[in-house]
Amino acid sequence: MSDTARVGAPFSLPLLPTLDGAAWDSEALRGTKVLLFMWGSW
Amino acid sequence: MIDEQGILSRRFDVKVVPNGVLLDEAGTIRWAKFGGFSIDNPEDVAVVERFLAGEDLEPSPQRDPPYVLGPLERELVATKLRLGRVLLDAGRTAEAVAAWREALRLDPENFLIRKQIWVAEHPERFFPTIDFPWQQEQLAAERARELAEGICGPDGCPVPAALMGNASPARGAAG
Repeated sequence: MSDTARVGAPFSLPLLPTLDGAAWDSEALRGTKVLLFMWGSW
Repeated sequence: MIDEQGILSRRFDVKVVPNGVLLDEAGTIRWAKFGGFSIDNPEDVAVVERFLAGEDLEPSPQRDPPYVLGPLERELVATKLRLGRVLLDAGRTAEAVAAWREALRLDPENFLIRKQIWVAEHPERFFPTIDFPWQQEQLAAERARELAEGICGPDGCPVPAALMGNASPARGAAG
């Protein structure tokens, strides 16, 4: 469980693709407030 | 972002969606709601607005997982999910589903895995529209089968024996 993200802990996100062909990771999100909405198309 | 490998679900140890997580400018997790987060829910919207305004946030909703997998089981589930994705990408759907069913056997309350299997086996139930009544029927049938196979017990899933004795029940443990 040591790699489980928790409230109060820093969040690390690997580079993930986006629908428009771009890719974002933690560094790309740094400096702004983020709502990470996790959703599935089923 | 598209997370075909389930990296986020593994990192947050989630078994359902939708979820909402708030990250501050430094990349620190400030609030999270797992299961049932919705921008149509005024309470969830209010939390986001307070966050944007720089106000203090109420504690995150308490997580109440039905069980906690041990490190080995978590790694096995992740490995089988990755294997299934490779097989699916190679057009070997039946083998992909078999790998995902092995993962689901270890983590039977994980609806991300269960629905992934359903989509692969019954795409007509998801495209062009999602058949939610069918999902309820399918879940009931699968639960009955898991009960019969000893994966689940009358108090929930999974029974410890189904996890090779290495999981840590989070609640409802019978000692």
